[in-house]
Amino acid sequence: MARLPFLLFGSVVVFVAGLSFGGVGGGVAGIWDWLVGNGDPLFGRVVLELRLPRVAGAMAVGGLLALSGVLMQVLMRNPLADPYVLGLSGGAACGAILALASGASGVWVDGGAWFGALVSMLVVLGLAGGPTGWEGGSRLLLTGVVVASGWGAGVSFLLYLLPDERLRGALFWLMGDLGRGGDATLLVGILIVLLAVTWPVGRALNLLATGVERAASLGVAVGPLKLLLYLVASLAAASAVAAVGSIGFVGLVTPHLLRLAGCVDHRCLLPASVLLGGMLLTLADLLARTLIAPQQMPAGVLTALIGAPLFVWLLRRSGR
Amino acid sequence: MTPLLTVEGLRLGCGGRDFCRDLAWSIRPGERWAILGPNGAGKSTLLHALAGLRGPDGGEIRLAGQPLARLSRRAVAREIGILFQQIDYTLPATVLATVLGGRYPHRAFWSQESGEDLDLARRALRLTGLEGLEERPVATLSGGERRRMEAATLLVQDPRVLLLDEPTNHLDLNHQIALLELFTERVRVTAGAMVLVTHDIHMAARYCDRFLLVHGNGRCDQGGREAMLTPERLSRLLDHPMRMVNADGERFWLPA
Repeated sequence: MARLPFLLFGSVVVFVAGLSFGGVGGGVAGIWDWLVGNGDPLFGRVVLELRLPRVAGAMAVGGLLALSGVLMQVLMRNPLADPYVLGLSGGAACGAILALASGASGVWVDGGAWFGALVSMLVVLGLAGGPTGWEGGSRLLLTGVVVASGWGAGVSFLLYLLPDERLRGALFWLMGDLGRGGDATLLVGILIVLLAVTWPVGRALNLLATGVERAASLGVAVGPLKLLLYLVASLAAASAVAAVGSIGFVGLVTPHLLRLAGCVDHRCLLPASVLLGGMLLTLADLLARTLIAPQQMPAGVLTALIGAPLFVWLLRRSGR
Repeated sequence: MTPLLTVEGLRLGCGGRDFCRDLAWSIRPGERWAILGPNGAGKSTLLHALAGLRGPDGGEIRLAGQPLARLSRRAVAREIGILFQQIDYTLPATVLATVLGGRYPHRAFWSQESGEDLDLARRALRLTGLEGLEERPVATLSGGERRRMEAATLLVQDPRVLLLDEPTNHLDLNHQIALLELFTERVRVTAGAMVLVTHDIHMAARYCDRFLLVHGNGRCDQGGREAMLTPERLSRLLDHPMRMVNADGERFWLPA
Protein backbone atom coordinates (compact mmCIF):
# COMPACT_ATOMS: atom_id res chain seq x y z
CA MET A 1 0.00 0.00 0.00
CA ALA A 2 2.96 2.29 0.67
CA ARG A 3 3.75 2.31 -3.04
CA LEU A 4 0.44 3.72 -4.19
CA PRO A 5 1.32 7.41 -3.54
CA PHE A 6 4.51 7.01 -5.58
CA LEU A 7 2.58 5.45 -8.44
CA LEU A 8 -0.03 8.19 -8.24
CA PHE A 9 2.71 10.83 -8.40
CA GLY A 10 4.37 9.01 -11.29
CA SER A 11 1.07 8.88 -13.16
CA VAL A 12 0.64 12.66 -12.81
CA VAL A 13 4.20 13.22 -14.09
CA VAL A 14 3.62 10.94 -17.08
CA PHE A 15 0.26 12.57 -17.72
CA VAL A 16 1.80 16.04 -17.85
CA ALA A 17 4.66 14.76 -20.00
CA GLY A 18 2.14 13.24 -22.39
CA LEU A 19 0.41 16.61 -22.71
CA SER A 20 3.65 18.55 -23.08
CA PHE A 21 5.51 16.81 -25.86
CA GLY A 22 4.60 15.99 -29.42
CA GLY A 23 4.84 17.19 -32.99
CA VAL A 24 4.10 20.79 -32.00
CA GLY A 25 6.74 21.85 -29.47
CA GLY A 26 6.06 23.51 -26.18
CA GLY A 27 7.21 21.19 -23.47
CA VAL A 28 6.32 21.62 -19.82
CA ALA A 29 7.03 25.36 -20.03
CA GLY A 30 4.55 25.66 -22.87
CA ILE A 31 1.88 23.95 -20.77
CA TRP A 32 2.60 26.35 -17.91
CA ASP A 33 2.41 29.39 -20.16
CA TRP A 34 -0.84 28.17 -21.59
CA LEU A 35 -2.27 27.48 -18.13
CA VAL A 36 -1.47 31.00 -16.83
CA GLY A 37 -2.98 32.42 -19.98
CA ASN A 38 -0.13 33.89 -22.05
CA GLY A 39 0.73 30.95 -24.26
CA ASP A 40 0.20 30.30 -27.95
CA PRO A 41 -3.56 29.69 -28.48
CA LEU A 42 -2.80 27.14 -31.21
CA PHE A 43 -0.67 25.14 -28.79
CA GLY A 44 -3.54 25.33 -26.29
CA ARG A 45 -5.92 23.87 -28.83
CA VAL A 46 -3.46 21.08 -29.67
CA VAL A 47 -3.19 20.18 -26.00
CA LEU A 48 -6.89 20.38 -25.24
CA GLU A 49 -8.36 18.84 -28.36
CA LEU A 50 -5.67 16.42 -29.53
CA ARG A 51 -3.38 15.44 -26.68
CA LEU A 52 -5.72 15.46 -23.69
CA PRO A 53 -8.15 12.86 -25.14
CA ARG A 54 -5.23 10.81 -26.40
CA VAL A 55 -3.31 10.82 -23.11
CA ALA A 56 -6.44 10.21 -21.04
CA GLY A 57 -7.38 7.41 -23.41
CA ALA A 58 -3.91 5.86 -23.13
CA MET A 59 -4.07 6.04 -19.33
CA ALA A 60 -7.49 4.39 -19.29
CA VAL A 61 -6.64 1.70 -21.86
CA GLY A 62 -3.37 0.82 -20.10
CA GLY A 63 -5.26 0.61 -16.81
CA LEU A 64 -7.99 -1.58 -18.33
CA LEU A 65 -5.44 -3.96 -19.86
CA ALA A 66 -3.47 -4.24 -16.62
CA LEU A 67 -6.63 -4.78 -14.56
CA SER A 68 -7.70 -7.49 -16.96
CA GLY A 69 -4.24 -9.05 -16.74
CA VAL A 70 -4.26 -9.24 -12.94
CA LEU A 71 -7.72 -10.82 -12.89
CA MET A 72 -6.91 -13.36 -15.60
CA GLN A 73 -3.73 -14.37 -13.78
CA VAL A 74 -5.67 -15.03 -10.58
CA LEU A 75 -8.51 -16.72 -12.43
CA MET A 76 -6.18 -19.13 -14.17
CA ARG A 77 -3.61 -19.25 -11.40
CA ASN A 78 -1.10 -18.81 -14.14
CA PRO A 79 1.36 -15.94 -14.00
CA LEU A 80 1.62 -15.97 -17.79
CA ALA A 81 -2.08 -15.39 -18.49
CA ASP A 82 -3.22 -12.15 -20.06
CA PRO A 83 -6.27 -10.86 -21.93
CA TYR A 84 -4.85 -11.86 -25.28
CA VAL A 85 -4.23 -15.53 -24.63
CA LEU A 86 -7.96 -16.09 -24.18
CA GLY A 87 -8.54 -15.00 -27.75
CA LEU A 88 -10.32 -11.78 -26.85
CA SER A 89 -8.24 -9.64 -29.16
CA GLY A 90 -8.65 -12.13 -32.00
CA GLY A 91 -12.41 -11.98 -31.63
CA ALA A 92 -12.25 -8.20 -31.49
CA ALA A 93 -10.10 -8.09 -34.63
CA CYS A 94 -12.50 -10.35 -36.52
CA GLY A 95 -15.46 -8.22 -35.43
CA ALA A 96 -13.74 -4.98 -36.41
CA ILE A 97 -12.55 -6.23 -39.81
CA LEU A 98 -15.97 -7.65 -40.58
CA ALA A 99 -17.40 -4.21 -39.81
CA LEU A 100 -14.75 -2.55 -41.98
CA ALA A 101 -15.38 -5.03 -44.77
CA SER A 102 -19.07 -4.24 -44.78
CA GLY A 103 -18.21 -0.57 -45.24
CA ALA A 104 -18.88 0.55 -41.69
CA SER A 105 -16.72 3.14 -40.01
CA GLY A 106 -16.18 4.96 -36.74
CA VAL A 107 -18.29 3.82 -33.85
CA TRP A 108 -19.58 0.78 -35.75
CA VAL A 109 -16.08 -0.63 -36.07
CA ASP A 110 -15.54 -0.15 -32.34
CA GLY A 111 -18.90 -1.79 -31.71
CA GLY A 112 -17.97 -4.68 -33.97
CA ALA A 113 -14.70 -5.16 -32.09
CA TRP A 114 -16.40 -5.04 -28.72
CA PHE A 115 -19.03 -7.51 -29.86
CA GLY A 116 -16.36 -9.82 -31.31
CA ALA A 117 -14.41 -9.76 -28.05
CA LEU A 118 -17.49 -10.68 -26.02
CA VAL A 119 -18.45 -13.45 -28.46
CA SER A 120 -14.93 -14.80 -28.08
CA MET A 121 -15.29 -14.74 -24.30
CA LEU A 122 -18.58 -16.64 -24.44
CA VAL A 123 -17.11 -19.23 -26.79
CA VAL A 124 -14.10 -19.83 -24.54
CA LEU A 125 -16.29 -19.89 -21.44
CA GLY A 126 -18.71 -22.34 -23.02
CA LEU A 127 -16.04 -24.65 -24.40
CA ALA A 128 -14.11 -24.68 -21.13
CA GLY A 129 -17.15 -26.06 -19.31
CA GLY A 130 -19.14 -23.10 -17.98
CA PRO A 131 -18.48 -20.95 -14.94
CA THR A 132 -18.84 -23.76 -12.41
CA GLY A 133 -17.07 -26.49 -14.30
CA TRP A 134 -13.57 -25.03 -14.55
CA GLU A 135 -11.32 -27.69 -13.16
CA GLY A 136 -8.24 -25.58 -13.20
CA GLY A 137 -6.61 -22.88 -15.19
CA SER A 138 -4.99 -25.10 -17.78
CA ARG A 139 -8.21 -26.15 -19.51
CA LEU A 140 -9.33 -22.55 -19.81
CA LEU A 141 -5.92 -21.47 -21.00
CA LEU A 142 -5.73 -24.21 -23.63
CA THR A 143 -9.23 -23.40 -24.86
CA GLY A 144 -8.21 -19.74 -25.10
CA VAL A 145 -5.10 -20.59 -27.09
CA VAL A 146 -7.06 -22.78 -29.50
CA VAL A 147 -9.81 -20.18 -29.98
CA ALA A 148 -7.18 -17.47 -30.44
CA SER A 149 -5.51 -19.39 -33.25
CA GLY A 150 -8.94 -19.91 -34.82
CA TRP A 151 -9.53 -16.14 -34.78
CA GLY A 152 -6.05 -15.64 -36.21
CA ALA A 153 -6.97 -17.78 -39.22
CA GLY A 154 -10.25 -15.87 -39.53
CA VAL A 155 -8.40 -12.54 -39.54
CA SER A 156 -5.98 -13.74 -42.25
CA PHE A 157 -8.86 -15.00 -44.35
CA LEU A 158 -10.76 -11.71 -44.06
CA LEU A 159 -7.64 -9.70 -44.90
CA TYR A 160 -7.14 -11.85 -47.98
CA LEU A 161 -10.69 -11.15 -49.17
CA LEU A 162 -10.63 -7.45 -48.29
CA PRO A 163 -10.42 -5.01 -51.24
CA ASP A 164 -7.16 -3.07 -51.37
CA GLU A 165 -8.60 0.31 -50.43
CA ARG A 166 -9.84 -1.07 -47.12
CA LEU A 167 -6.83 -3.23 -46.38
CA ARG A 168 -4.71 -0.38 -45.02
CA GLY A 169 -7.36 0.64 -42.48
CA ALA A 170 -7.71 -2.97 -41.33
CA LEU A 171 -3.95 -3.40 -40.93
CA PHE A 172 -3.74 -0.23 -38.87
CA TRP A 173 -6.55 -1.48 -36.71
CA LEU A 174 -4.66 -4.70 -36.07
CA MET A 175 -1.51 -2.87 -35.02
CA GLY A 176 -3.21 -0.98 -32.23
CA ASP A 177 -3.19 2.77 -32.53
CA LEU A 178 -4.02 5.23 -29.81
CA GLY A 179 -4.45 7.96 -32.40
CA ARG A 180 -7.77 6.39 -33.23
CA GLY A 181 -8.90 7.71 -29.90
CA GLY A 182 -12.04 6.08 -28.78
CA ASP A 183 -14.11 7.96 -26.27
CA ALA A 184 -11.65 8.76 -23.47
CA THR A 185 -14.37 9.82 -21.01
CA LEU A 186 -16.24 6.57 -21.55
CA LEU A 187 -13.05 4.53 -21.13
CA VAL A 188 -12.12 6.30 -17.89
CA GLY A 189 -15.67 5.74 -16.63
CA ILE A 190 -15.56 2.02 -17.46
CA LEU A 191 -12.17 1.71 -15.76
CA ILE A 192 -13.38 3.36 -12.56
CA VAL A 193 -16.52 1.21 -12.40
CA LEU A 194 -14.62 -2.05 -13.00
CA LEU A 195 -11.96 -1.16 -10.43
CA ALA A 196 -14.64 -0.24 -7.91
CA VAL A 197 -16.31 -3.63 -8.44
CA THR A 198 -13.13 -5.66 -7.97
CA TRP A 199 -11.26 -3.74 -5.27
CA PRO A 200 -13.61 -4.83 -2.45
CA VAL A 201 -13.04 -8.51 -3.26
CA GLY A 202 -9.25 -8.10 -3.06
CA ARG A 203 -9.01 -10.31 0.01
CA ALA A 204 -10.96 -13.08 -1.72
CA LEU A 205 -8.59 -12.71 -4.68
CA ASN A 206 -5.63 -13.28 -2.36
CA LEU A 207 -7.23 -16.56 -1.29
CA LEU A 208 -8.24 -17.58 -4.80
CA ALA A 209 -4.63 -17.09 -5.89
CA THR A 210 -3.67 -19.93 -3.52
CA GLY A 211 -6.12 -22.35 -5.14
CA VAL A 212 -9.81 -22.88 -5.69
CA GLU A 213 -10.24 -25.54 -3.01
CA ARG A 214 -8.23 -23.69 -0.41
CA ALA A 215 -10.23 -20.52 -1.08
CA ALA A 216 -13.52 -22.44 -0.83
CA SER A 217 -12.46 -24.10 2.42
CA LEU A 218 -11.74 -20.66 3.89
CA GLY A 219 -15.20 -19.35 3.02
CA VAL A 220 -14.92 -17.86 -0.49
CA ALA A 221 -17.96 -18.45 -2.73
CA VAL A 222 -15.70 -19.48 -5.59
CA GLY A 223 -18.29 -19.98 -8.37
CA PRO A 224 -19.82 -16.47 -8.26
CA LEU A 225 -16.42 -14.87 -7.70
CA LYS A 226 -14.93 -16.55 -10.76
CA LEU A 227 -17.88 -15.50 -12.87
CA LEU A 228 -17.47 -11.89 -11.68
CA LEU A 229 -13.75 -11.94 -12.43
CA TYR A 230 -14.27 -13.40 -15.86
CA LEU A 231 -16.91 -10.81 -16.72
CA VAL A 232 -14.87 -7.87 -15.42
CA ALA A 233 -11.67 -9.06 -17.10
CA SER A 234 -13.50 -9.61 -20.39
CA LEU A 235 -15.30 -6.26 -20.28
CA ALA A 236 -12.05 -4.46 -19.49
CA ALA A 237 -10.12 -6.17 -22.27
CA ALA A 238 -12.95 -5.85 -24.79
CA SER A 239 -13.32 -2.12 -24.09
CA ALA A 240 -9.57 -1.57 -24.43
CA VAL A 241 -9.27 -3.59 -27.61
CA ALA A 242 -12.35 -2.01 -29.16
CA ALA A 243 -11.00 1.48 -28.46
CA VAL A 244 -7.43 1.15 -29.70
CA GLY A 245 -6.89 -2.29 -31.25
CA SER A 246 -4.38 -4.87 -30.13
CA ILE A 247 -1.88 -3.56 -27.60
CA GLY A 248 0.11 -6.47 -26.29
CA PHE A 249 2.16 -7.06 -23.15
CA VAL A 250 0.79 -4.24 -20.98
CA GLY A 251 -1.69 -6.63 -19.34
CA LEU A 252 0.92 -9.33 -18.95
CA VAL A 253 3.97 -7.40 -17.82
CA THR A 254 2.44 -4.75 -15.53
CA PRO A 255 1.24 -7.10 -12.74
CA HIS A 256 4.58 -8.92 -12.93
CA LEU A 257 6.64 -5.80 -12.48
CA LEU A 258 4.59 -4.96 -9.39
CA ARG A 259 4.82 -8.46 -7.96
CA LEU A 260 8.57 -8.40 -8.45
CA ALA A 261 8.60 -5.11 -6.55
CA GLY A 262 6.84 -6.85 -3.65
CA CYS A 263 3.26 -5.75 -4.26
CA VAL A 264 1.44 -9.10 -3.96
CA ASP A 265 -1.67 -8.30 -1.93
CA HIS A 266 -4.48 -7.77 -4.44
CA ARG A 267 -5.90 -4.86 -2.47
CA CYS A 268 -2.68 -3.09 -3.44
CA LEU A 269 -2.01 -4.89 -6.71
CA LEU A 270 -5.32 -3.94 -8.37
CA PRO A 271 -5.07 -0.13 -8.07
CA ALA A 272 -1.29 -0.23 -8.51
CA SER A 273 -1.63 -2.21 -11.76
CA VAL A 274 -4.21 0.24 -13.08
CA LEU A 275 -1.86 3.17 -12.40
CA LEU A 276 1.29 1.50 -13.70
CA GLY A 277 -0.48 0.08 -16.78
CA GLY A 278 -1.75 3.56 -17.60
CA MET A 279 1.72 5.01 -17.12
CA LEU A 280 3.43 2.43 -19.29
CA LEU A 281 1.02 2.80 -22.17
CA THR A 282 1.10 6.61 -22.00
CA LEU A 283 4.90 6.50 -22.08
CA ALA A 284 4.87 4.06 -24.99
CA ASP A 285 2.45 6.30 -26.85
CA LEU A 286 4.56 9.37 -26.09
CA LEU A 287 7.61 7.62 -27.55
CA ALA A 288 5.58 6.42 -30.52
CA ARG A 289 4.51 10.01 -31.22
CA THR A 290 7.90 11.64 -30.82
CA LEU A 291 10.62 9.14 -31.81
CA ILE A 292 10.12 9.45 -35.56
CA ALA A 293 8.15 12.72 -35.56
CA PRO A 294 6.45 14.04 -37.58
CA GLN A 295 5.67 10.42 -38.46
CA GLN A 296 3.80 8.46 -35.79
CA MET A 297 4.01 4.76 -35.23
CA PRO A 298 1.28 2.67 -33.58
CA ALA A 299 1.84 2.32 -29.83
CA GLY A 300 1.03 -1.39 -30.10
CA VAL A 301 4.20 -1.92 -32.12
CA LEU A 302 6.26 -0.21 -29.44
CA THR A 303 4.72 -2.08 -26.48
CA ALA A 304 5.41 -5.36 -28.27
CA LEU A 305 8.98 -4.29 -29.09
CA ILE A 306 9.64 -3.40 -25.44
CA GLY A 307 7.38 -6.07 -23.97
CA ALA A 308 8.67 -9.17 -25.76
CA PRO A 309 12.29 -8.97 -24.50
CA LEU A 310 11.08 -7.84 -21.06
CA PHE A 311 8.83 -10.87 -20.91
CA VAL A 312 11.62 -13.26 -21.89
CA TRP A 313 13.78 -11.70 -19.19
CA LEU A 314 11.02 -12.15 -16.59
CA LEU A 315 10.51 -15.74 -17.66
CA ARG A 316 14.19 -16.59 -17.32
CA ARG A 317 14.33 -14.82 -13.99
CA SER A 318 11.34 -16.71 -12.61
CA GLY A 319 12.81 -20.01 -13.78
CA ARG A 320 15.74 -19.59 -11.44
CA MET B 1 -24.71 -35.20 22.78
CA THR B 2 -25.80 -33.89 19.37
CA PRO B 3 -23.25 -34.66 16.67
CA LEU B 4 -21.26 -31.88 15.01
CA LEU B 5 -21.34 -33.66 11.67
CA THR B 6 -23.89 -36.25 10.64
CA VAL B 7 -23.45 -38.43 7.58
CA GLU B 8 -26.52 -40.30 6.34
CA GLY B 9 -26.77 -42.82 3.53
CA LEU B 10 -23.64 -41.34 1.97
CA ARG B 11 -22.49 -42.63 -1.38
CA LEU B 12 -19.22 -41.34 -2.81
CA GLY B 13 -17.58 -42.58 -5.95
CA CYS B 14 -15.18 -41.74 -8.70
CA GLY B 15 -14.67 -43.20 -12.14
CA GLY B 16 -17.51 -45.72 -11.82
CA ARG B 17 -16.24 -47.07 -8.49
CA ASP B 18 -17.91 -46.49 -5.15
CA PHE B 19 -15.66 -45.61 -2.24
CA CYS B 20 -18.48 -45.89 0.23
CA ARG B 21 -22.12 -46.87 0.02
CA ASP B 22 -24.90 -46.05 2.45
CA LEU B 23 -22.44 -44.78 5.04
CA ALA B 24 -23.95 -43.65 8.33
CA TRP B 25 -21.50 -41.80 10.54
CA SER B 26 -21.72 -39.30 13.37
CA ILE B 27 -18.87 -37.11 14.54
CA ARG B 28 -19.56 -35.89 18.07
CA PRO B 29 -17.91 -33.16 20.15
CA GLY B 30 -14.62 -34.29 21.62
CA GLU B 31 -14.18 -37.21 19.24
CA ARG B 32 -10.91 -37.74 17.41
CA TRP B 33 -11.32 -39.93 14.34
CA ALA B 34 -8.73 -41.56 12.14
CA ILE B 35 -9.51 -42.68 8.60
CA LEU B 36 -7.33 -45.59 7.54
CA GLY B 37 -7.23 -47.36 4.21
CA PRO B 38 -5.17 -48.22 1.15
CA ASN B 39 -4.17 -45.76 -1.61
CA GLY B 40 -7.04 -44.65 -3.79
CA ALA B 41 -9.67 -45.89 -1.35
CA GLY B 42 -11.32 -42.47 -1.24
CA LYS B 43 -10.03 -41.17 2.09
CA SER B 44 -9.29 -37.69 0.75
CA THR B 45 -12.52 -37.65 -1.25
CA LEU B 46 -14.44 -38.40 1.93
CA LEU B 47 -12.62 -35.59 3.73
CA HIS B 48 -13.42 -33.14 0.90
CA ALA B 49 -17.08 -34.16 1.08
CA LEU B 50 -17.10 -33.55 4.85
CA ALA B 51 -15.71 -30.06 4.19
CA GLY B 52 -18.48 -29.44 1.64
CA LEU B 53 -15.98 -29.03 -1.19
CA ARG B 54 -17.50 -31.92 -3.09
CA GLY B 55 -21.17 -32.85 -3.27
CA PRO B 56 -22.14 -36.41 -2.28
CA ASP B 57 -23.25 -38.81 -5.01
CA GLY B 58 -26.03 -39.91 -2.69
CA GLY B 59 -27.19 -39.25 0.84
CA GLU B 60 -26.56 -36.19 2.91
CA ILE B 61 -24.01 -34.54 5.21
CA ARG B 62 -25.34 -32.23 7.91
CA LEU B 63 -23.54 -29.69 10.07
CA ALA B 64 -25.34 -29.24 13.41
CA GLY B 65 -28.56 -30.45 11.77
CA GLN B 66 -28.30 -28.25 8.64
CA PRO B 67 -27.53 -29.82 5.24
CA LEU B 68 -24.02 -28.75 4.26
CA ALA B 69 -25.07 -27.89 0.72
CA ARG B 70 -27.57 -25.30 1.97
CA LEU B 71 -25.10 -23.37 4.13
CA SER B 72 -22.97 -20.53 2.77
CA ARG B 73 -19.26 -21.24 2.26
CA ARG B 74 -18.52 -18.61 4.88
CA ALA B 75 -20.75 -20.25 7.50
CA VAL B 76 -19.21 -23.66 6.78
CA ALA B 77 -15.68 -22.24 6.99
CA ARG B 78 -16.33 -20.90 10.49
CA GLU B 79 -17.16 -24.45 11.69
CA ILE B 80 -15.14 -26.77 9.46
CA GLY B 81 -11.51 -26.39 8.47
CA ILE B 82 -9.38 -28.65 6.32
CA LEU B 83 -5.64 -29.15 5.97
CA PHE B 84 -5.01 -30.19 2.37
CA GLN B 85 -2.51 -32.80 1.36
CA GLN B 86 -0.81 -30.42 -1.02
CA ILE B 87 -1.14 -26.80 -2.11
CA ASP B 88 0.60 -25.30 -5.12
CA TYR B 89 1.58 -21.69 -4.76
CA THR B 90 2.01 -20.38 -8.29
CA LEU B 91 1.49 -16.70 -7.48
CA PRO B 92 3.72 -15.06 -4.88
CA ALA B 93 2.54 -14.35 -1.31
CA THR B 94 4.17 -13.83 2.07
CA VAL B 95 3.82 -16.24 4.97
CA LEU B 96 2.00 -13.78 7.23
CA ALA B 97 -0.47 -12.76 4.49
CA THR B 98 -1.18 -16.41 3.69
CA VAL B 99 -1.85 -17.29 7.33
CA LEU B 100 -4.06 -14.19 7.73
CA GLY B 101 -6.28 -15.71 5.03
CA GLY B 102 -7.62 -17.94 7.80
CA ARG B 103 -9.50 -14.93 9.22
CA TYR B 104 -11.51 -14.49 6.02
CA PRO B 105 -14.68 -16.29 7.18
CA HIS B 106 -14.74 -14.27 10.41
CA ARG B 107 -14.77 -10.82 8.80
CA ALA B 108 -17.06 -9.10 6.29
CA PHE B 109 -15.49 -9.73 2.91
CA TRP B 110 -14.69 -6.08 2.20
CA SER B 111 -13.20 -5.31 5.62
CA GLN B 112 -9.52 -5.15 6.50
CA GLU B 113 -7.72 -7.40 8.96
CA SER B 114 -7.74 -5.97 12.47
CA GLY B 115 -4.91 -5.84 14.99
CA GLU B 116 -6.56 -8.76 16.72
CA ASP B 117 -6.36 -10.82 13.51
CA LEU B 118 -2.69 -9.96 13.23
CA ASP B 119 -2.09 -11.05 16.84
CA LEU B 120 -3.85 -14.36 16.15
CA ALA B 121 -1.73 -14.94 13.05
CA ARG B 122 1.54 -14.16 14.85
CA ARG B 123 0.55 -16.42 17.71
CA ALA B 124 -0.24 -19.28 15.31
CA LEU B 125 3.12 -18.81 13.61
CA ARG B 126 4.82 -18.96 16.99
CA LEU B 127 2.92 -22.13 17.94
CA THR B 128 3.95 -23.83 14.70
CA GLY B 129 7.57 -22.74 15.06
CA LEU B 130 7.54 -20.31 12.15
CA GLU B 131 8.36 -17.22 14.16
CA GLY B 132 10.56 -14.84 12.21
CA LEU B 133 9.41 -16.10 8.80
CA GLU B 134 6.46 -13.67 8.61
CA GLU B 135 7.67 -11.72 5.59
CA ARG B 136 9.26 -14.63 3.73
CA PRO B 137 7.77 -15.48 0.30
CA VAL B 138 5.95 -18.81 0.49
CA ALA B 139 7.95 -20.09 -2.48
CA THR B 140 11.14 -20.02 -0.39
CA LEU B 141 9.76 -22.31 2.35
CA SER B 142 10.67 -25.98 2.59
CA GLY B 143 7.96 -28.65 2.30
CA GLY B 144 7.78 -29.06 6.07
CA GLU B 145 7.63 -25.31 6.68
CA ARG B 146 4.78 -24.97 4.19
CA ARG B 147 2.92 -27.73 5.96
CA ARG B 148 3.30 -25.90 9.27
CA MET B 149 2.20 -22.67 7.61
CA GLU B 150 -0.98 -24.43 6.48
CA ALA B 151 -1.46 -25.70 10.03
CA ALA B 152 -1.04 -22.13 11.30
CA THR B 153 -3.73 -20.99 8.83
CA LEU B 154 -6.04 -23.66 10.22
CA LEU B 155 -5.36 -22.50 13.80
CA VAL B 156 -6.16 -18.93 12.77
CA GLN B 157 -9.35 -20.08 11.06
CA ASP B 158 -10.26 -21.73 14.38
CA PRO B 159 -13.04 -24.11 13.27
CA ARG B 160 -14.57 -26.69 15.60
CA VAL B 161 -14.16 -29.54 13.14
CA LEU B 162 -10.56 -30.13 12.01
CA LEU B 163 -10.17 -32.25 8.88
CA LEU B 164 -6.52 -33.22 8.46
CA ASP B 165 -5.35 -34.87 5.25
CA GLU B 166 -2.03 -36.56 6.08
CA PRO B 167 -0.93 -33.58 8.19
CA THR B 168 2.41 -35.07 9.15
CA ASN B 169 3.69 -35.53 5.57
CA HIS B 170 7.05 -33.83 5.07
CA LEU B 171 7.41 -33.22 8.81
CA ASP B 172 10.23 -34.42 11.03
CA LEU B 173 9.22 -36.36 14.12
CA ASN B 174 9.28 -33.54 16.69
CA HIS B 175 7.10 -31.36 14.46
CA GLN B 176 4.73 -34.28 13.80
CA ILE B 177 4.15 -34.71 17.51
CA ALA B 178 3.98 -30.97 18.18
CA LEU B 179 1.40 -30.45 15.44
CA LEU B 180 -0.89 -33.27 16.54
CA GLU B 181 -0.59 -32.19 20.19
CA LEU B 182 -1.63 -28.71 19.06
CA PHE B 183 -4.67 -30.01 17.19
CA THR B 184 -5.82 -32.39 19.94
CA GLU B 185 -5.54 -29.49 22.38
CA ARG B 186 -7.79 -27.38 20.11
CA VAL B 187 -10.33 -30.22 20.01
CA ARG B 188 -10.36 -30.34 23.82
CA VAL B 189 -10.63 -26.57 24.29
CA THR B 190 -13.33 -25.95 21.67
CA ALA B 191 -15.24 -29.20 22.37
CA GLY B 192 -14.72 -29.80 18.68
CA ALA B 193 -13.70 -32.85 16.69
CA MET B 194 -10.83 -34.00 14.53
CA VAL B 195 -10.72 -36.32 11.54
CA LEU B 196 -7.24 -37.49 10.61
CA VAL B 197 -6.40 -39.22 7.36
CA THR B 198 -3.11 -41.06 7.70
CA HIS B 199 -1.11 -44.12 6.73
CA ASP B 200 0.66 -44.13 10.08
CA ILE B 201 -1.24 -46.58 12.32
CA HIS B 202 0.84 -45.66 15.36
CA MET B 203 0.15 -41.95 14.98
CA ALA B 204 -3.55 -42.73 14.57
CA ALA B 205 -3.56 -44.98 17.63
CA ARG B 206 -1.75 -42.37 19.68
CA TYR B 207 -3.97 -39.39 18.87
CA CYS B 208 -7.34 -40.84 17.89
CA ASP B 209 -10.00 -42.75 19.79
CA ARG B 210 -12.36 -43.61 16.93
CA PHE B 211 -11.49 -45.29 13.64
CA LEU B 212 -13.06 -45.51 10.20
CA LEU B 213 -11.58 -48.16 7.95
CA VAL B 214 -12.21 -47.38 4.28
CA HIS B 215 -11.65 -50.44 2.10
CA GLY B 216 -12.18 -48.72 -1.23
CA ASN B 217 -14.81 -51.17 -2.45
CA GLY B 218 -17.76 -49.48 -0.79
CA ARG B 219 -17.21 -51.12 2.55
CA CYS B 220 -16.47 -48.98 5.61
CA ASP B 221 -16.04 -50.21 9.21
CA GLN B 222 -16.07 -47.98 12.23
CA GLY B 223 -15.51 -48.35 15.93
CA GLY B 224 -13.12 -47.92 18.86
CA ARG B 225 -9.48 -48.91 19.15
CA GLU B 226 -10.07 -52.41 20.53
CA ALA B 227 -12.54 -53.35 17.83
CA MET B 228 -10.82 -51.77 14.83
CA LEU B 229 -7.06 -52.03 15.30
CA THR B 230 -6.93 -55.81 15.31
CA PRO B 231 -4.38 -57.67 13.18
CA GLU B 232 -7.21 -59.41 11.30
CA ARG B 233 -8.97 -56.19 10.31
CA LEU B 234 -5.76 -54.35 9.43
CA SER B 235 -4.47 -57.30 7.37
CA ARG B 236 -7.66 -57.30 5.33
CA LEU B 237 -7.69 -53.47 5.03
CA LEU B 238 -4.09 -53.12 3.91
CA ASP B 239 -3.99 -56.38 1.91
CA HIS B 240 -0.89 -57.52 3.73
CA PRO B 241 -0.59 -59.75 6.81
CA MET B 242 -0.16 -57.62 9.92
CA ARG B 243 0.76 -58.60 13.45
CA MET B 244 0.34 -56.78 16.72
CA VAL B 245 3.12 -56.67 19.31
CA ASN B 246 2.69 -55.74 22.96
CA ALA B 247 5.71 -54.18 24.60
CA ASP B 248 5.82 -52.22 27.87
CA GLY B 249 2.04 -51.91 27.77
CA GLU B 250 2.07 -50.29 24.32
CA ARG B 251 0.89 -51.82 21.08
CA PHE B 252 2.77 -51.89 17.83
CA TRP B 253 1.53 -53.01 14.44
CA LEU B 254 4.09 -54.51 12.14
CA PRO B 255 3.90 -56.04 8.67
CA ALA B 256 4.35 -59.80 9.04
